[in-house]
Amino acid sequence: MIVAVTAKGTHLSDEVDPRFGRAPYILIVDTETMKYESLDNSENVNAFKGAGIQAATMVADKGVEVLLTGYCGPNAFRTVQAAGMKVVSDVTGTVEQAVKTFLGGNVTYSEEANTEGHW
Amino acid sequence: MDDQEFEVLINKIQNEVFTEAKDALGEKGFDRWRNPKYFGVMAEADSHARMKGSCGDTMEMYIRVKDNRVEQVSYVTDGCSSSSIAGSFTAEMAMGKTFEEVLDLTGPDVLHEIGTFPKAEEHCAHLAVTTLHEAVNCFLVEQMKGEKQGI
Repeated sequence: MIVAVTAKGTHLSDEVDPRFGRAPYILIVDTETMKYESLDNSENVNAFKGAGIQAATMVADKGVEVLLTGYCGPNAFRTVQAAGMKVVSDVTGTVEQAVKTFLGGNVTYSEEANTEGHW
Repeated sequence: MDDQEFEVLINKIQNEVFTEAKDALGEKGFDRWRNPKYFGVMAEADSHARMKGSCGDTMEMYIRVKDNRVEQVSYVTDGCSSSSIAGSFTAEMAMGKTFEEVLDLTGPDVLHEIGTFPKAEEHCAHLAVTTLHEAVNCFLVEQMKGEKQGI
């Protein structure tokens, strides 16, 4: 399975960034091999048109099935859902820990945005 | 949902975001969000400061000084539209002012200049002004150290 994790850095050992749209990086991780690709999210942050939507579109293009993040606003959440992805919110720790916790099954999928709209 | 339907939905959400943002930020703020004047790292700045607000947003201010005035200012933020707008207007308002005038600049001054601004986001203006003040303070401290050393 391919998951996306919002991150403060480019490695699995970096902390999860709780912000979805404005996280500096988003790591695309293959949970079977733990191989990953680091996406620079700065272009979306500096698009000045709604970072969450841009980030969600970028992640959707990578075939991601589940997004692991801290919080996700309503516009980003709608975009992520439309792309067929599930969202796990309130994720903390390192990216690697987040993926392992997810694989351990100790997660709840979000049914709605967990923060207000922020552009 | 196929690619075409997805794209239609994205455009719809994007238009809704612009409508919401215009309502919350006013025309002036909205325009500045979309066209963030003075955004970017300044090469060869005379001083620079970076601060993190209570909301977690980071603001950076770069200044260039000439004839004891803040000649140019630029800002960088990883924050939301409110932080960017506040940074942009703060930079604009500081340019050409003396150090004292810049240090007299307040968050409410910036909010007044912007006009419409979300109440819950007003701290962004304070963060921008405080960061600018820090950049000026750093410059003045360095200048004083230089004078003491006879540079």
